[in-house]
Amino acid sequence: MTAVERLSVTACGPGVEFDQVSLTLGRTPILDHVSFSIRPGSVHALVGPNGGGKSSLIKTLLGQMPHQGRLCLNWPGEPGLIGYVPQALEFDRGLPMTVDDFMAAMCQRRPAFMGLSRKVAPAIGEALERVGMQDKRKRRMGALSGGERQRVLLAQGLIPAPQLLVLDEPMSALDEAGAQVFERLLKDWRQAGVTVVWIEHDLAAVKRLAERVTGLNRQVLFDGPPEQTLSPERLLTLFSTHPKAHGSALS
Amino acid sequence: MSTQVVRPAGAGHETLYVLLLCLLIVTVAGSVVAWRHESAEVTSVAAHQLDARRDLNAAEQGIYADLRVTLDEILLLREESGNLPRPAQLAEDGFAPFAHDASSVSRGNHAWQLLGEQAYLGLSPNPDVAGSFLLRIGDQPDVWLNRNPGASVPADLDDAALNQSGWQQVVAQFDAGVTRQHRH
Repeated sequence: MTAVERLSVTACGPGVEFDQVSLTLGRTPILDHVSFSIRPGSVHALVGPNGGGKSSLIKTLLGQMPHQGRLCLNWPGEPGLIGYVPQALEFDRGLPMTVDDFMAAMCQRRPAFMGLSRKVAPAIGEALERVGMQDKRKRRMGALSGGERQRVLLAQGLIPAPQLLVLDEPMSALDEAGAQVFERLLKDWRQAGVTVVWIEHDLAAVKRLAERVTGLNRQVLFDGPPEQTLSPERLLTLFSTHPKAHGSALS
Repeated sequence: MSTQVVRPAGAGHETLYVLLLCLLIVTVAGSVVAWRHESAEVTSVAAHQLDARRDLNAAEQGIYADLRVTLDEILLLREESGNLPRPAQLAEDGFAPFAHDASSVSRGNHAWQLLGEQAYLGLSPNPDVAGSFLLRIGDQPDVWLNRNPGASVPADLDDAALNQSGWQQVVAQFDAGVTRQHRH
């Protein structure tokens, strides 16, 4: 599930440049000449209606889509690690997999049934501590609530520490305490200079936490700091069924 | 500062890798086939011979097989008594194909006789059903077949003379073409 690529470690996250990126799956246009950039070390939110292409944009960023156009990551040094936290995890609720098993499967090379590797065990403990799941390590994944499961997903995104973090609606199932955990993590990432790309539906949270926000519905409808861009009129345009052109939305 | 361009997934390079993998598999499989192949030995029988499996009909195959089995008994009886047993004696003991029973009738009702101390001759009144048989008892006992309606007692029992009078030697071969099995 995690798309962490081991390359080499740098101090700061990369900038991301989307230049006329289009994506068509079958005959359905998903993205239409999307151009915007994500500044290095910033928390960048993506908002937009369902089916607007946000998740596809993220998959494109992770190199899993047959896109057209140019998409590049400008690393400050050598290319570093990319962390990915998916929207949800699909598996059978009766699966006898504990939180520890899941973390082991995600974070170590040794098969999970052989137990936690001694090398990553401290990191896993620390990550679970940071998301407040330390005391539920032996619980089955199926027995966790949606919010708790999402915290575990966040924890696996922390190992190993990425320089670019891609979050697909991390707050959708989080409860109040979970949301606080997430805000704390976001603050830590910002301090560490990690670039965070963040899909979010909660516009209040975006306004409070993101440095920059891009409205996406097949094409870029607006792009800028949340205080300026998240005006009622723009949001009406964004969530309307037929997206208008870039210009009219900004006028 | 380094720029990493995200390449589109599912584009040409993946097809290329798949094709290269296919090529590799075909090359490996082909080289294994070329390396391990064995040429099939095609054995053919001479013009004066008949293949026991391919060239005989069902009745002839039955008689031929029975002759091969009974040959052991004949040799044992010869050791005991010093003489070859007479066909009548063999028929009495129930040894096929000398015995008179339903299968001997359906296989052409051969009339068996002993030629000196050298061979058994079974003349067939129905060459269409099965030809006449000759079982030579020598150092290397063998079986000969004559499908001519006018087959008669051969004057001489050496190969050339038998050939002359229309007899053909029946030979059995063990090759993969017949049994589809490896015989190592």
